[in-house]
Amino acid sequence: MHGKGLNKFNYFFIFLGLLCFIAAAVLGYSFKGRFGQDTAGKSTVPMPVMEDTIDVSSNSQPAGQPSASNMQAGGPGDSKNWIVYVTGYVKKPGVYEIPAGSRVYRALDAAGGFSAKADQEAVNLAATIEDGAHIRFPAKGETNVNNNTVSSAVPNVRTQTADASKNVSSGLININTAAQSDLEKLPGIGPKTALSIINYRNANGAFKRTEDLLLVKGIGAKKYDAIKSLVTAGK
Amino acid sequence: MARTPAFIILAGLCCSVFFCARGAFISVSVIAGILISCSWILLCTERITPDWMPCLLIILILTLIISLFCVLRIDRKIYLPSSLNTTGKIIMSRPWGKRSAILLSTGHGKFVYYVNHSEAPPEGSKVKIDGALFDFKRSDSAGGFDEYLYWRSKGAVKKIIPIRMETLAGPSGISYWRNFIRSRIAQNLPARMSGYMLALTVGERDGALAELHRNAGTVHLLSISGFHVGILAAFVSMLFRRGICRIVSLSVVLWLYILLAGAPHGGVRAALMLQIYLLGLLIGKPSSAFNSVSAAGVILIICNPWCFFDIGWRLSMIAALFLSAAGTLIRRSWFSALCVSLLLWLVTAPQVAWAFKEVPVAGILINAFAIPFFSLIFPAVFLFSLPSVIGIPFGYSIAEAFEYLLKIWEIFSQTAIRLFPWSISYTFPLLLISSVLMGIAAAYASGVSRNKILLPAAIFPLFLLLFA
Repeated sequence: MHGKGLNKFNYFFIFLGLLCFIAAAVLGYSFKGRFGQDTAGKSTVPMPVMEDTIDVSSNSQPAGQPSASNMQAGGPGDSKNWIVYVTGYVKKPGVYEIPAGSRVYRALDAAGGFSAKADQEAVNLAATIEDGAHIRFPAKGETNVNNNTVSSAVPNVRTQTADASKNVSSGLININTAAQSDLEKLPGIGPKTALSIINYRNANGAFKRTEDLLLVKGIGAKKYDAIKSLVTAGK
Repeated sequence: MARTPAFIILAGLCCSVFFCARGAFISVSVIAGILISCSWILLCTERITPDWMPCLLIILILTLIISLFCVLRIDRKIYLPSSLNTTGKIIMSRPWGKRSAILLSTGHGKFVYYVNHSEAPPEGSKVKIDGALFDFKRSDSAGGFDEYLYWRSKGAVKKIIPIRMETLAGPSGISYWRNFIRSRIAQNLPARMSGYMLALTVGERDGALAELHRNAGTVHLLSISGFHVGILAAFVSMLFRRGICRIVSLSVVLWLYILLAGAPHGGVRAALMLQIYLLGLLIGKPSSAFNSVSAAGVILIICNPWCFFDIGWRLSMIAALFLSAAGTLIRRSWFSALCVSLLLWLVTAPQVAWAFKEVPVAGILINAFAIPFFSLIFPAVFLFSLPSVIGIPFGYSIAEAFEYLLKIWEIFSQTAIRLFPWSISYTFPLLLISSVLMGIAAAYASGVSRNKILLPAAIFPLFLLLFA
């Protein structure tokens, strides 16, 4: 590649090389926006938080308000498709998009079917499900312990479809609206921690889910475990 | 183009990943990457050979495929619930301020959690965890620590706060040996020897020792990199005669060492580079050092595109690329070697200053002596530590006696710091100087003639002027 001087080919290549660089720069500079931005990078619609992980649990959002990021991914905001989380003894556990109105067998198909150890009779495959459901298929002989809400529509299937708004009326303390005195009624929550909850709420906006309490100073795993069944993050 | 095809692919790939991270469309990112590769080729070309066009097409197609693959992985959405109840294995445990950061690998991906030192399960343990998932914090300011990018480069997707956790089984396999070696070193060696041995073997930094080296601008000596891999390779090469036996034994020892050290980016990069070089020797076509470093960088980005944002990967790549390009100068004379040391400091200074807020000026002088000194000291540390670590009588006394030599180094570095107490912060002109030097080194390694070298080299600062 070493040459003694520049000839006309060199100048031609230099010209082409600079042209390529300018083209790359123009591309990078002009098309720096997406998802609701025009090509100059100006917002045309409110921008979602650009994270590459999407929370698919229904209690991560206020009831009835699909997140912008879920909408991007064809999530609960997409009326044609639902997102369900399939775990347990299936071939490919994970989060899947299935047509709206599907029943359990569709979610099972999406997850590749039962694995060898699955208890195939423990789950009612004809049961209806909801958008954002967590469906767990147990193994043979496994006790179906349910730590969470059991959907009456899906017997024998562990689901997490808790709608925060439903819990508001069931005597739970709403961490987004509760006064300090209400929060102090919770086990292990004194005036200082109650004030921390309110301060956190004021500084960061409403709690999206009860787990966000773990981010409040003074609330550790044990304290959260003791109060999680007594609180809701409904608005 | 024929000399450094991997560097051309690396340049295009880095450009694609950079644009994608800025929020450009996938197609735009990939096309921009290809254009940058093409631009470098055209600016470096001085004459057309018969295989020029096929080479160009192959390189551009490879750039397209690799960039597309990496950009798609960066852009991929990962669906996760808000809480998890799962089992996993602790694959990394490291000090994190006053606490420990634990990297947990599960069937749902890798997650990070922070715990007190006393509660941290040993690396390699199998645990059952029930916890809530949270997003990582993004940096509030330019140059601030970005928890999201840091952990994504380590493979983690979210932070988990454990509500309940149970250890199911203790460490096994390589993790067991890492823990075993760590505890033997910590229990049987005096402080300095223990610090250096931990850094050399399991890739763990002792807090006080790291602080000392950070002040002197030599903290890179405590990170497994090409320097350490080079010492090991030299040692193994002495034991075996030339031929396939040496290549195979060197490869095995090399990768065992990297696994034992916890596979840090710098170490894996150096091992890959050496492996590519060894494979080249095996087939009779040894790759240039510059091209091998570039190929190692491409492989690392393919494995985890987020490592592009890791300061360890960047520093390791910049330093290795510059040193491999300037390798011929180092061998020329002592003065040239000192000049390369100064230039290397200038090339890496903006990255160091960006990450650690400042870079000590004394580092220029200290590094010029540190590299030859530690290339002798590190094997000696290993040899003089061994009797104590394996429990031979008077081993501790031997190790303790050797500590004095390490103390002499400390006195030298502290004197140098007192003589040159200044440090510089990150500035844009410093970045521009660094990019010009890097550009010249890359063009030189690519075989561009001296009368044309500034032209391709100008691409680097131009790119930074537009996008930094």
